[in-house]
Amino acid sequence: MKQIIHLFVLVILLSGCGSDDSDVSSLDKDTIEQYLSDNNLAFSTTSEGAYQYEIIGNPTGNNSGDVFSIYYTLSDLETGVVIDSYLVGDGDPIKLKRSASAIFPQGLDYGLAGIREGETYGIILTQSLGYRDFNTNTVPLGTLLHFEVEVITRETEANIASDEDTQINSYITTNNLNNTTLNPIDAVVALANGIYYKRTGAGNGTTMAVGDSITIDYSGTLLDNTSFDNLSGFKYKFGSGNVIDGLDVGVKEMEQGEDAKLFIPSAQAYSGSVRVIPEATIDELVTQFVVPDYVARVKPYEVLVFDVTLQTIH
Amino acid sequence: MKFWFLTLHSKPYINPSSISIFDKTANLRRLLTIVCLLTTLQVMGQNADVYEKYNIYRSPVKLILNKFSWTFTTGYGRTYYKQDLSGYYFYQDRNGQYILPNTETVGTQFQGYINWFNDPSLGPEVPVRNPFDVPFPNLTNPVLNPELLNAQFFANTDTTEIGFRGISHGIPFTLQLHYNFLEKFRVGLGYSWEKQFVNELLPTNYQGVIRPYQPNIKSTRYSRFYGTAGYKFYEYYNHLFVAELQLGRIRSGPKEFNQSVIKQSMYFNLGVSMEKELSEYFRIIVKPSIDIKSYKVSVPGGTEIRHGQPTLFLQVGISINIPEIPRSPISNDHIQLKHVITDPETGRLIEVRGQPITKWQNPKVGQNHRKLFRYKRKNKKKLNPY
Repeated sequence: MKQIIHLFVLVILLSGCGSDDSDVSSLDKDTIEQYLSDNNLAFSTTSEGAYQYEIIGNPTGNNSGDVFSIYYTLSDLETGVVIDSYLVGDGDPIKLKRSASAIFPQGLDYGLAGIREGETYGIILTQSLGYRDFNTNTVPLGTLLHFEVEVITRETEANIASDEDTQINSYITTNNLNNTTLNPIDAVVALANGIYYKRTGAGNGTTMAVGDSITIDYSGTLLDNTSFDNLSGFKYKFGSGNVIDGLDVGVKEMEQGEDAKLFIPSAQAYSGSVRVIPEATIDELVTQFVVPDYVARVKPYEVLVFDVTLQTIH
Repeated sequence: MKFWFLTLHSKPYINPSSISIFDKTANLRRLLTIVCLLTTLQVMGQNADVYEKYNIYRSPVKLILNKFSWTFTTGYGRTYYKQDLSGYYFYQDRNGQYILPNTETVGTQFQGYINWFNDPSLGPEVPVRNPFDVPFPNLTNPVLNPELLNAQFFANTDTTEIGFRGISHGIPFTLQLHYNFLEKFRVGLGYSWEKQFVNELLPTNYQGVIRPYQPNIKSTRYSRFYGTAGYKFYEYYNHLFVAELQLGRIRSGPKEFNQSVIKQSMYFNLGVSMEKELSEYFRIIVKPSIDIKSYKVSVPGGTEIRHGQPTLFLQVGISINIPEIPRSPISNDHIQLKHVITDPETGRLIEVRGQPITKWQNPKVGQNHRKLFRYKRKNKKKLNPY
């Protein structure tokens, strides 16, 4: 009898050790399904557990390509309060890349699966697919996220690269960078992989080799002239993969003491970076090691422009 | 052959039947005389006179050696390392952890010292820049990438408390020789050798950000030479409790610790030796103790880094005294007590033992008759096991 009691107590104790997450997840599902039921919404769930329901369908729309351009509204499912939105009036649709662990909250990545160009979907995320236990000012703990996403385009990264090349050339033309009288000293040179290089100040003829320790000053801007970073006396080992590929490729063309402008397409820089929604939470997520620091500076598929001075070569 | 029974232990004992060479009256008189003499001598602590009076030879070397106890112990040691990095910059990137005296100027590059636990050496030059920031390469699968926990971390330990601590495990082997005097006191010398298995040290602050410090050694050894003093503060039947203090020098393994940059402090050890006397000459020991010690590591241009390393020991072992008298050399001498014989080789009277050193020398009836193994365990309840 005593053994049976001990066994019973053990079972009770072990059952108490079970994860609370599953209980929370179960409550979340109940809440979400109640919401969908109350609003007569026919829904489906992805294999990861994100809820999708169709608002505007487009059965013939393109459904290939992992780079989505979207508008969205994000609200709290339980209160209906809009947390964040990015709509047609706010500018060009934002880009994000699916299936590359480059979207936060991760549930949005899963929820976008299968949505075609021209379609609008509702996507509802449980806490575990949303902000989980990461506390931010904009998204309080325990919020069930409710997205309404309008997919404008779906593209491949090859399309993106082509678009970026067009943007760079447009910038060069607009700013007369090939006019060496207005913008000395050399015209823009196209390098490998869509990188463009323009020498703006002469060097002393000393060039570098792989493994040399070089010191550069740089200022980084986007094509809309927004500054994202600048640094003086940045020292690194050339050609050792210590910096983004585009910077190494461009700097290779330079001589000691030279100034140059480099145009680096996203494929040679931060590619799809990470799309964080809402953007206001990026800094908090960086400090909680959810996303890398560069996410706060460079958004997905940004062309970077570096004005570089090559100080020393050792 | 004549046997004289003279116990020189706690109670004088004389076997009257063995002094058959005297007549009864003389025997009685002699017996009383000896008892009175021995009692008086014992009270006065002058047993030596008995041997002089009856010209009983005892080896003076063994008499002196008998005053010393030889102790061997081994067991388990648990060392608590704690580093104090005050006066340094601490820098961590995905490849390593570095320190640099905070009197230095730090620009965009950082060249600090590694292996400050045991052998500080200059590390590689690294950029003081977060490796997950522009212009460093992007991460594949960036969201919640475990690599993010290896982020760059830079701090001045004067303003941000940063240190490391951890526990290492060791096996000590100790040999000690001490002299017993005034019943309760002992002084001696000892040597201890410890094999220690060095574990990683955890940060005392920013645990989620700073990775554990990994010493570049897996194990080391420590050797200690020490002087010791002890006081028997409690005695309960055959159980002794002796407070012991050790004071000595400790040396870390020269292969693992760069002796040119390490200053090892003197070490103190405080412990209680709990001893059970199995005989006059043989004891078993259980000894918990604590080592109090530290060492300092010099880093060029910086203050010395203090590493606290107290150790808790639990050791068990044996302690023996070399008997002042030999076993009886006569093969058919089955007398159990200490007694006097005529040495067949020299013809002198000598006192001899009837018991090995692991047993009481003057046993009471049944005292040394241990239960045989065949009567134990599964045969415990059997009347006739075999």
